[in-house]
Amino acid sequence: MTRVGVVGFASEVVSASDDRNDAELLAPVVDRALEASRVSPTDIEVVGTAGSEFLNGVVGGVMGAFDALPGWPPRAHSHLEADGAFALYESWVRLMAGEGRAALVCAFSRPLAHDPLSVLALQLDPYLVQPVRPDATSLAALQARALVDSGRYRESDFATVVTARRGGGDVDDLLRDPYIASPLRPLDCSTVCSGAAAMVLAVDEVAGRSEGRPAWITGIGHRMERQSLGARDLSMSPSTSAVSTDVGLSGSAVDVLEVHAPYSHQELILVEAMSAAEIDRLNPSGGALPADPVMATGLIRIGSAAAAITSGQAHRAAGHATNGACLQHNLICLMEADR
Amino acid sequence: MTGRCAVVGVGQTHHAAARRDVTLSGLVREAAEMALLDAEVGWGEIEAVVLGKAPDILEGLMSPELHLVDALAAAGKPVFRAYTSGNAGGMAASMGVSLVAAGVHSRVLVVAFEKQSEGGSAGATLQHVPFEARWQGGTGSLFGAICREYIARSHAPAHIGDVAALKDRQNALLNAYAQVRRPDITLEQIAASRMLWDPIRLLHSSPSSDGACAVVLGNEQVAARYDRPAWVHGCAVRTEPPVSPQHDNVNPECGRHCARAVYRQAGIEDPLRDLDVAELFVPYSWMEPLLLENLGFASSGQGWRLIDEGATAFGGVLPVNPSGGLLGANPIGAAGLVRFAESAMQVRGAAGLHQIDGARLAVGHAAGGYSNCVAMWVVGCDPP
Repeated sequence: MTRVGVVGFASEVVSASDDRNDAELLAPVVDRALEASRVSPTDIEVVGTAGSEFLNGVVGGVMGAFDALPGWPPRAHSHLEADGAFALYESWVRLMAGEGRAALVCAFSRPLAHDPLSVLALQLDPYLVQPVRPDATSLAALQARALVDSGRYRESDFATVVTARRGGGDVDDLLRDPYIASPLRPLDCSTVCSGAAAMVLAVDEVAGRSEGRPAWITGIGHRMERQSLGARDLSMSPSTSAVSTDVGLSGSAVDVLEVHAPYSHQELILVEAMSAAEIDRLNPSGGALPADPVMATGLIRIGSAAAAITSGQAHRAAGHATNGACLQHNLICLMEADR
Repeated sequence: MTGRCAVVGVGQTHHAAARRDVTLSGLVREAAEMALLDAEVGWGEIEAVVLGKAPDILEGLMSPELHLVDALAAAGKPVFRAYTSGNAGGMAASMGVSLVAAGVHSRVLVVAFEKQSEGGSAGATLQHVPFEARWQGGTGSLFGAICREYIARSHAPAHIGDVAALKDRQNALLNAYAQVRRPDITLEQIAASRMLWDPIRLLHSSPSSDGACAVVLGNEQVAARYDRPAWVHGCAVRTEPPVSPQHDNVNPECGRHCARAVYRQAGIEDPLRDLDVAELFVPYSWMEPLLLENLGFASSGQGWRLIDEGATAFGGVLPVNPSGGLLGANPIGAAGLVRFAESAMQVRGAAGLHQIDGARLAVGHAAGGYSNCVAMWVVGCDPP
């Protein structure tokens, strides 16, 4: 059975006003990931890239990324309109299917549109919901309200998440902030920015060549829920629960768990849904709240979890990514070091 | 590929310039239901869905899998969206094959669609790209330049584009799902049709279409339950940088590379003789001779001769696009999967009026971008 490991990862988040283009943003990150992996660019046979053409304002978004990729010869390269975590999933599948021995996974995000969160409304039912143009934060607030109404968490729990992820602040002070969309306050919502991430995957034969400590993927999977918000219990994330069981996270202990939660209350829903037996460090990278390069954020969570393993700070770690309004689509990648 | 994979069900919609009778959900549902019916399986037996689609901006629906999950009865399942470029349908099929070959899933539904009537796709591809010079080309002018360069290199006579178009348009008459069917079409009409992007004339060109296609893929255990599955003998995707000193729009390395990979996997030495039928992504008839060379059916500069001799027509040594190809209908994101599906229909003996007698080994091809994104598979009636 083929084993695939993460052998290199790099990312960079920059202010949304950074004026570099996709390739300029991506190139240094790709170089750093390849260098860390010690995998030669000629070993890369599979490439997965991801970004959002709607957010970046470019049709055929992949064309702008080529200058950052190892150019020649042609590779099994797939590009997605999605978070880079899904490109990771595809590259893992292709390596498991024997289509190559090493893969480069990239995500780039440059949400140039004046209001990225209202652009995300274009993900909704085009006939009945899109015309109303609900922005992502308003929809997340409906979910946060459902969570409060469930009696499981209170607004002060949201504020506790904010202080942990944003590195300080006082819960009582936070609760005095005005609402942006009740019950969410501005700091409950992620700071949208630009960014890029690159990850190198290798099968055991190639990964074994490097001197590093690969983060072996022991389980990776994703599931999607219905889109209609009225048809879901927004306070729960059954797709996350199911994937957590699929990949072997549920009921087991991890040293590091990186959760892709662009809103504070979503971290509470997700961690509960994953039902890990023990989490030593939750979102040590800070998670999605302080820096959210939309469509790279999920890959950065998984890459941060992998980096905890490759740097020796963790033995077993998991990363999560989400897409769609109110956590509609969820992916989990569970990784382990060799004993 | 590691594990075996076979096509056990195929479905496609009636393609039309505007399918105003269905929503996006209705369109994908129509193709998916036909594929499930063909495979004699229920929605519950599908483990995962791969959805292919060209740029989201063509319909203005971002990440359409999030909306179409309900129409595909896939809530609670893994739903994966494939894209890359106009080759999205082929990319989706390839991801489906990889999921089965890797042993991740035993039965996967692959669906691809485009509903061009819901947006302005020509306009969408003409947009101004931030930070780049204004280039008001559009896809037609790009292909026009490619075909002109092909003619300059190969000295193909002017009538080749007309002959190739007539062949596909006559083939489309045999395909009940085709959108453009002109029973009275003649070579003279094609040759006299309006010049759009020299040398590409109106009747050399594919239409704007609404349509969807679906295939059910299964592993060896699943396929064993069927009388005549289409076994996947080879499947590959290749992409190369479009702006690069090595990139040749007319004879791109990615096409040669991809073809070599699938032929090697399928044990094909002479694709022209070994394959019985080809469904190629030919949006403009002038692209056929060029692809015949790029994909290894003819040597450099000789592709047009195969067309001139009728080798790619019904009864020829390698019939190309017996379905009518993209000239019959071009629902962009679905069109690649239609090519893959049609090749599977041929080796299953299920292509109806456009069946090539005795077809045992067929190739399906999808392309996109600036001739820099390719996906192919080879399917056969015998297990690999």
